[in-house]
Amino acid sequence: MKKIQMKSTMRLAVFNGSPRGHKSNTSVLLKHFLNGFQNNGGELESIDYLIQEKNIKEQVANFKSAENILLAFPLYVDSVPGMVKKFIEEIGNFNGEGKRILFFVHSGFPEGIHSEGVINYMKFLVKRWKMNLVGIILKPGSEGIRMRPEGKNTQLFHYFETLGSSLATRGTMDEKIINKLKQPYKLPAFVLFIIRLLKKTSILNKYWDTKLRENNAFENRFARPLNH
Amino acid sequence: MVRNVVIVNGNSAGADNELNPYLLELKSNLFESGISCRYHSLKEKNISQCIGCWDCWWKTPGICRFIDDEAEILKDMIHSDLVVFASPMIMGMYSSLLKKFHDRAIPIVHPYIDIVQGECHHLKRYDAYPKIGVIYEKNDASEEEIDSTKFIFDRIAINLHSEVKFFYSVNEKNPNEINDEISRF
Repeated sequence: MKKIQMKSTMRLAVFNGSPRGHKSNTSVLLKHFLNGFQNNGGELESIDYLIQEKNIKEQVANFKSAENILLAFPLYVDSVPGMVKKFIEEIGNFNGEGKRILFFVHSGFPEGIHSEGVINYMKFLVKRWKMNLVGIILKPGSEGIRMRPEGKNTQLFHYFETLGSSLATRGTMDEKIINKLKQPYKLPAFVLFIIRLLKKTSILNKYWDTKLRENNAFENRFARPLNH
Repeated sequence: MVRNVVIVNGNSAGADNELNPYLLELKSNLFESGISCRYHSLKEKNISQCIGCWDCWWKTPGICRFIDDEAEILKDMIHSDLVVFASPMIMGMYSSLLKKFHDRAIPIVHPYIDIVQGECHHLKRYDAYPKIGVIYEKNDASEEEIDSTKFIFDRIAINLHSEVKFFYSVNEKNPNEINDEISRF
């Protein structure tokens, strides 16, 4: 280990925008990112869970006073979750010149295209706040990460650790990894073909069917309660 | 032909704000054209934030765990031909009030995945979904923020098996012009 650091330690304020709070895929992936960050000399300044909306004043204060910011959230109905939008509204327009920000967006849908709108919105926010954008990490197909066996996520977790460590050591994130993570932007034709074939079987919906059966709700899965 | 319209007003500003009287005028214009219209101001409603529990998909299909004002508006939507989402642009995007309403709309689709326009989307739960109209108040939004918001509404429309029929700022068209347009659908 080098004793002498050329740069001062980076302190990072983290905002977890998952409505699932601690028990979220956002949390799981953040944990690996922060492991990489902290094990390489980065310092965690604060971590706020935006679902705790009663703390919004303090969260906004933490956001405005931070020099390095990470805002992470899952895609909800094609954009940020409502309470993340509320947080952005509370922050409002302010001069964040010199501050650095990065985003982590993930979607249950397997393609990156679903998040295109919200990613553009993040870029416009960076302009509004006059901040420097470090990068936007996009991970489609994130649903169920926290339920998968440990081994299935090894590569994914490794990528997040690597991104965290490069942020701490170099102040940037590896574009190659970011480009890998955000694939596929759209599903290739042969995958769509296979999905269409599998639609006739129960393989495609196994994840949902298992849960529906666990909850004794399988028979009722096509219910239309608002018809009456 | 449009017979039933639902207006979902995502404006959190007070009654003197221009968007509210605009929408009430639209409502009465529609009424005069023989179109039934339900008006919901989200500011007056109690709607919790979706917490991603997915009870509405895998425990009580089609029903959210939160008993609040969301379900009655969704019910009106399912029984309408057109839903008008109205919102001021705040920080370059539609309001958090309207966003929270959208987040809670997932019980009206099914968790199963279908291929729509070459992408994965959720299967319909209901036979038909209303077309979408958007009316916004521009405020300090830039052109690119407006375009990006339009893009997001087009994406929402795909997910709701619908299409965006119009997307206007309050300065672009008056309520009567919107009424004429809706009457011609």
